[in-house]
Amino acid sequence: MSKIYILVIEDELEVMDVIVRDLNLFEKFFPIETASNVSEAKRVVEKIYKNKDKVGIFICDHIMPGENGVDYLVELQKDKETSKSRKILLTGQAGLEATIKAINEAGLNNYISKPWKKEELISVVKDNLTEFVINNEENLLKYMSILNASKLAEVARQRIPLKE
Amino acid sequence: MNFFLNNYDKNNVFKVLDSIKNFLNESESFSLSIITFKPGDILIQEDEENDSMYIIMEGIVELSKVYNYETVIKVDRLEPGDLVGLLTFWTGETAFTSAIAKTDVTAFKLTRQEFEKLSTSHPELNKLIQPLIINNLVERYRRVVDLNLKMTILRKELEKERNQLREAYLKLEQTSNRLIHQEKMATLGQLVAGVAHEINNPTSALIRSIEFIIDTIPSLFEENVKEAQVKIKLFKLGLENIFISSEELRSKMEELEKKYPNVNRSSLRLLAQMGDDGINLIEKLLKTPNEFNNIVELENLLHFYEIGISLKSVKISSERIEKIVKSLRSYSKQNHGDFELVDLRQGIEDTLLILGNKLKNFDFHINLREIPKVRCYSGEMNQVWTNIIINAIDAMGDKGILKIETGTDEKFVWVKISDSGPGIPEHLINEIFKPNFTTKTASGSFGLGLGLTISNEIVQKHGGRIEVENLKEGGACFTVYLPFGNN
Repeated sequence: MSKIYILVIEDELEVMDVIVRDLNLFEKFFPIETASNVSEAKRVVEKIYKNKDKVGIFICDHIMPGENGVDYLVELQKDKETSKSRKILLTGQAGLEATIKAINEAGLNNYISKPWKKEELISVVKDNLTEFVINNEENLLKYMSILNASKLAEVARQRIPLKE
Repeated sequence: MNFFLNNYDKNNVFKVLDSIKNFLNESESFSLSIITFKPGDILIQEDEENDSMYIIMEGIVELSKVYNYETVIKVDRLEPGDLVGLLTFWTGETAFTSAIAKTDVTAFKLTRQEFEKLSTSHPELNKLIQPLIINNLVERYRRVVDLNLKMTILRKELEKERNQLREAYLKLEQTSNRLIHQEKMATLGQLVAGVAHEINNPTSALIRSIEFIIDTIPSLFEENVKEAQVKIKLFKLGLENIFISSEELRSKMEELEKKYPNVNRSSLRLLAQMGDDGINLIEKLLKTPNEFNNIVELENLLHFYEIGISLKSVKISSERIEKIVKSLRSYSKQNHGDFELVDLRQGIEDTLLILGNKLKNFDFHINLREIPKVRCYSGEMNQVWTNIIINAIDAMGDKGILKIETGTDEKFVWVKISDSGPGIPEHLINEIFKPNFTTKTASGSFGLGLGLTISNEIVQKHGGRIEVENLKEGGACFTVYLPFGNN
């Protein structure tokens, strides 16, 4: 069965550690992968899709050594597969121009500024993963325990008559 | 008598005049027209016909012309011996200027009719009058040349003054910009110092508390229980943790996943980070070599490791805050009173730390060799480093190499900052220190065009200089020289 990954791209390992710990609860259904720069992220993404898996959500810092986060998100948006993934900026510093670009060209789904709150991060990730599975998965019921159950149930109900 | 005089002398006019008088007296009864004028009387009116010529014998006559229908401009000043109405008398045109008596004036008047009569009846008279007229014209011509000369000189002076005015205005503008900038920096400095102070208090509490927690936790465990010992060891492993790269983490996780297929990813990640020492400890304690059956027990033990990691993160992070705040304070130091004795390298390091995020994309080759301390305002010097470094990274765009080096020669300490950007176009290299010179567009972050001007002034104030060159291998290089020693 194909897996849906959470990919965290963050150059500071201390910060990465905390993000991953905050998102631990999703890992039973959505394995977390990490990359500390964009070129590493590209290798990870390639590997994931090679295994017929997907990235459900990209959580990306903006200012990093090498390519910056927003430019990478724009690239992802141009790709047929990763354009379906949800995209979140988690950053302490993205100027107005970069943010506008992220929204207009990368279809940015959320912007979380550092320092973030655990509940905020979890709720944003939960909502976005819910949207992702609704748009990309057949079987929604198995995610009920971890994602937005009422929304999943509603969509699942609507789908039944369509199949008839 | 020779009337063609090389040097025009008014007295000669009177001689001529006398001759005329004598001549006339000797001849038929010609009534001599000696006329007197009061101040303000008009001898000749501009634009009107005139058929008389006057030879001034006493007093002053002023020639004036109406300009633009209203302004009266004084054109010339005529004295005894001068001729009035010469041109109109001769050409018959309307008067070019008005002639007005300035004082009481006595003049000899000769109408055209009289003149014609005289010259036919007494042709000898022409010989007397012609030189008079010519001399008069010559003198007028001389005055015109003189006037032109004066006008040219005046125009040049005016031009000079206008240029000075323009320069003064520019200087005023620059001074005003500079004052605004100084004021901004001063305000910023105060603000930063205030914020830094506020941050320092909670940071101190944070650092002290975390040290207390780290020191105290191990003593909470019972000494002789084996499980407690393992937990302490795991906790300490966490405290000593240095994060491995995500690449390495991934490959270790894959390895461990094969070995422990029943362990969840979050635990695998911790095991991968922890390394073999920790894994062995846990395996021994749980007496399950090469497998972890009891996942709850494993997660419980891993929590001690995680707590260690977290506390270390808190410690490192609060130390980072402390360092940034310290740098902020010394970076934005206000100059009060005398220069201080400063190691320039500290300011450069502070600047690099403050610029932190802006510099992430660039490679650094930093070689700060030992240099003597320099007398300066450290806060102002930090502005210099900031301006040069920001220019360098802006020039490089997305990535490049920033080199910073220090050194000394006999009298100067130098700091060399070079980049791997496109360099400065040769025709602009002399412009860059001029105020309002900028290559950054309006939307750019700094772009006041004052950065290098102010930097240059700061360095000069300290008795130093900034040199700029383009490197052979590409990129621009700024070298700041500051004198060291007792001065």
